[in-house]
Amino acid sequence: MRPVDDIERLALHEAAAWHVRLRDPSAPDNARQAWQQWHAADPAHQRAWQRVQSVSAQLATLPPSLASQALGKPASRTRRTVMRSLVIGLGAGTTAWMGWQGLPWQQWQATHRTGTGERLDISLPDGSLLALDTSSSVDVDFNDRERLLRLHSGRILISTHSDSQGRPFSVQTPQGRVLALGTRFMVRLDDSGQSHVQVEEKAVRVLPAAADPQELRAGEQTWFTADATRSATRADPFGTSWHEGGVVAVDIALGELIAELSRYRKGYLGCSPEVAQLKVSGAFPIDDTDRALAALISRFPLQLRSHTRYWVRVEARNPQP
Amino acid sequence: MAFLACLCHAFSVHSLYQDHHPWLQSLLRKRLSNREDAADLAQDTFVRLLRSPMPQEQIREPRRYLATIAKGLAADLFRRRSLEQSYLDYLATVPPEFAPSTEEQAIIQQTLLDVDRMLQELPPKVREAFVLAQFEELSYPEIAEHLGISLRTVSNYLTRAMEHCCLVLA
Repeated sequence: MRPVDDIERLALHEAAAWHVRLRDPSAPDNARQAWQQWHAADPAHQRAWQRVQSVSAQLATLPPSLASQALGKPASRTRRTVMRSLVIGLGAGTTAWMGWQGLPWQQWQATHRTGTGERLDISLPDGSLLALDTSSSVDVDFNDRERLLRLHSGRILISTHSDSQGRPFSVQTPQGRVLALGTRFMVRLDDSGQSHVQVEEKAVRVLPAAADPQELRAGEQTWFTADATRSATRADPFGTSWHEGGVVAVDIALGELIAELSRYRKGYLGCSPEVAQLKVSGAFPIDDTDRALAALISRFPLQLRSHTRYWVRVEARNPQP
Repeated sequence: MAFLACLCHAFSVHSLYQDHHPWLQSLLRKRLSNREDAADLAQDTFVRLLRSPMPQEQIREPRRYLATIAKGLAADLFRRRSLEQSYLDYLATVPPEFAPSTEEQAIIQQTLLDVDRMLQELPPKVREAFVLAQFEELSYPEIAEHLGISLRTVSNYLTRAMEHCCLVLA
């Protein structure tokens, strides 16, 4: 019986090695073919593979946040340090405080704010990344039960990081809450008193203050108020382009684009009613709205009328002789 | 003969019990600061001894031997309690509509205990690499950097952990 045991044991070792290899996203394309050959070569290989798959499924029943907290060392600490080195820098609009010295980082509280035309990238104490769009204000409240952001104005983009303590991550708006399910997502407070949510990766759960929760998956968006959620629609693929410093317009009304650009510009920026419905496309920088406007009038039959830098209106170009 | 040896063993454990049980219980009470836990563990220590094939004449220092077993059991107890607490903490953070059913909860808790026991048998770095890959979803290069080891070693560690997992869990 001994040699049979050895065969089974060797097959198990190989199956485990294949499992590790195929999980690596950088594994070469032919790895899968090589695995198929190995798998087909021997019934012992198939039995061993079956065993690896079943254990893998068993491990998947453990919630990752629970398992990494309960079973692991505080491993995410290094990850946090790495993330922190990516921070662009805490702007003047950021105030953060620790309750008193020696308070654990879990009790972190801070307020972040951006002015008109400012954007800010912040690495949160758990390694999650928070980006603030122009004219935004958010409170960060991390305690031992949860990781909570309170959005007071503007728009934020979040990439959550798994928490060593398994605390849930959510964004509170005046209309309700958005619970992250391991994800990258965006929350915005509309001027109309609605919260807008757009999911880039994985999923979130929208929990309006007084309506049924709704799950939103990657590539979807919705608006919600305290007592209603719109059904999910396909998200604007360029919805997060502001984070890269631009607004991407694909066949949208000029009025809409101007309203968007005006958020990044001090003073008044508008357009005259007769051109508001004109369809425009292009990528426009938001860190330099003068350049964005210059690009706009060079490509479309438009002109600018301005009184000082702080009052600009986009109008139809006068037919010049 | 086997039965007789077994009987002898039981008798010797019995005499150990009579001689040292009060002492062990007071030792554990000091350690655990909980009367019931101390009583349970003292009992478990003798049960463990009864099941072990160790002949009594080889136990030169019975109190030291008993204390070693008791210490191991106490560590298990603390570990189990800490895992239970981790689980309760986790459960408290799950919104009610996501809360697992009682059956799922039992499965998760048992799996957590099993995986933990399995991981305790592995060297610390192998264990850490496994947790980082499996539950923190770090990439292999990230794990290599984090643990200060080569990519090849990461693969070896993960293979070893997975193999061990299969031997213990399935």
